Amino acid sequence: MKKLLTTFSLVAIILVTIAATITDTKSDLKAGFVVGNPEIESMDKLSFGPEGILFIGDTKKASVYAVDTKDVVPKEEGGEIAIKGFDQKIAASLGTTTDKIKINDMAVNPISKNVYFSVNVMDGTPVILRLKGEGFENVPVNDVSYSKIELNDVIASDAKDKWDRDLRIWAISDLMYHNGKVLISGLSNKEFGSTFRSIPFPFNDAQEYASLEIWHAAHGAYETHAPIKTFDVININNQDYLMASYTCTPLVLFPMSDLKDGTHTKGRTVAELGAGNSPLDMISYEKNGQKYFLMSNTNRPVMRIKYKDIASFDKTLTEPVTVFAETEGVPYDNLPFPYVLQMDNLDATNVVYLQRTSNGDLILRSRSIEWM
Amino acid sequence: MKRYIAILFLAFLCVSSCKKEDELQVLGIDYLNGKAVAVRFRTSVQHSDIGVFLGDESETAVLGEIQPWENIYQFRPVVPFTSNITYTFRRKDKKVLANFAPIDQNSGKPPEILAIYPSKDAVPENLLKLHVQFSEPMQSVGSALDYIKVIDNTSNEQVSIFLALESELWNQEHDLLTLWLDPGRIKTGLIPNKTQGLPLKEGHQYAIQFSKEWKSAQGVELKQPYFKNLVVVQRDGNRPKPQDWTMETPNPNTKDPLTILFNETMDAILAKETIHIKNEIGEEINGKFTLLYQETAVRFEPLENWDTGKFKIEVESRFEDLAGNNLNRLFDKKVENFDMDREVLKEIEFLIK
Repeated sequence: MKKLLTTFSLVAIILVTIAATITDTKSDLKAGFVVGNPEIESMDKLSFGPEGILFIGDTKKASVYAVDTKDVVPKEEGGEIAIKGFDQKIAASLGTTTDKIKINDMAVNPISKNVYFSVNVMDGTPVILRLKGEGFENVPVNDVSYSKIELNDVIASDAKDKWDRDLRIWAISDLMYHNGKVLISGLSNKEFGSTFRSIPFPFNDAQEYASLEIWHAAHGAYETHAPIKTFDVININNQDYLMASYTCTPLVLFPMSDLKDGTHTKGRTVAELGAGNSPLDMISYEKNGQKYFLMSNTNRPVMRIKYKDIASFDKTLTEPVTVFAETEGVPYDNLPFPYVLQMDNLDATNVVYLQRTSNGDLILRSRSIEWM
Repeated sequence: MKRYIAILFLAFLCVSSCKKEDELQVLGIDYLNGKAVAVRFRTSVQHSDIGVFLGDESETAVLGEIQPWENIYQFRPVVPFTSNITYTFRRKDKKVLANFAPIDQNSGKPPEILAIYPSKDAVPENLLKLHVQFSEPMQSVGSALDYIKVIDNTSNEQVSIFLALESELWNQEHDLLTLWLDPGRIKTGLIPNKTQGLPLKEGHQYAIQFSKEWKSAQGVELKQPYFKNLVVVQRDGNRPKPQDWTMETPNPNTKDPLTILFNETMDAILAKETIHIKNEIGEEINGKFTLLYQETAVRFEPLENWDTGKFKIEVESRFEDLAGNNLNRLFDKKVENFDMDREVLKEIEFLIK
């Protein structure tokens, strides 16, 4: 018994030492992080990077924060999720009613498979909640290890106006971490333009800013003044492309290597997914050795597009689409999921999504990619 | 002050459930800046067995922390309690221990719409934006378009003219909202334009109604419904031309205003922020801009007295008219060889003598 206890104690000491080493050693990515209150004012967009780092897009302060969630215990599976009355549950957790909350975004931590939500209440107080079973836990962001970058408005100097003039809003429409960079699309309240930022992470002073131009087949013209709603990155023949989806739904590829600071880049439109619609979320997954993209929409069901169809589509759509809501280019399938408001990969074989059902209920559900 | 405290104390007593005081007694609600940020209570029940719930809810507890506070406990919710809603203390076995309802601490002063730009009714059929200035920060939930109804008085129909955006274009204070008229319908040739036509039709009159139910961040409804009329006139197909603007120049050694007259109504927000006044050596003159005459002019009042000499007005190219035409390009125009708009400035010189 004594021997057993000694062995146990030794193991415990070793474990504690390992744990302490892990905690004490900051990774290179978190080397510049500071502990404190980042004073985040709005949490419009969420996206996870590596090592449990959560990127938060704050439109009100035109900033992006990288917050160390310390949520790094790996899990293979996200488990089954099926929650009805989801908005009522969130409202009850925040002690208020559904008309006084707004679910801004959802993101899954790829390490722990925990699902995070950013929620606003009436007065604009932003909250991050983590799904725990059928309930939630609060993820405080007022005393965290974080780093921050301000989205400098390089077009004009008004961001630092001293004389009480209105500052330009730069609403963040999508945000993702890819290969050492935080990619951000947005829309300004003043000029209706499409701007895209690529910011190296860990943050330093550098941020690249490019304006994008697309061939809008519906317009029959090159188009600069349209906002990207959602995007992903696709690798074709060893080159990364920004795959951006716009309001009125053209799908456009931009070589990432062309998106350089201050440049104006022409994209290649590979699909017209129909006017009268606006894309919401885009994710990708692999099934039976094939890669697919899923896109949720305001007025269309979730669309599924095969990677190989995008990769093999070497044309660009230059002829105007003449019939309203007609689609062109890369083919896609409609999945039987309308009104999907939020969507993310839960784990290697499941997707989690937030859907408004036909009876008005808001449900959070996981679904195997076998059925997607 | 004493009287105020006494009334508050009485209110606390009222919200406490006296019957349950042997198990849990609500002592009071703590308010900070008008928000109910905590509830204090005394209890004989193990505090870890207690939860706060919304009304009759018994499954999902309100997120927050119970902290000992002197001889009593304090529950601090993650977000402040909502006023005029009843909350319930429950034991683990769901038994109700007590109720409380935070009272509205705000003055109750309703928010107002102070200005809607463009402030004049006559607008071109390719009007691009509307800005709404509120008297205080507005609610951060729901969609602005839920509170805005547009009636085409000419055809007697309710119409949809604004672009729905997931991330709405509010300023940082959340008291200025920019609404875009659907650009896809304004640009000729785009499918929405071909199938639905322009959002506004020349010769038609529209009434935009802002519902009284639109609430401030404090949850108080607008003072009244607000209305904005639009009388749609012909298309504006011209870029603003600063060379045609006129000026009323100030006298030296005074803080007299410099007035710049545009001859047409401009975008209110850009008119205030894209114009810079500089002296001969390029130093910017500090001062304040005010919109005048239905945004057909701005007045610039310097902080310091004017010197004599040459000055210049610099206008950034992104200065826009009501149709989104800026100094470089028309909004509704193909862009073949687009160059980024950043460096182009228009300069107008003036002399103070």
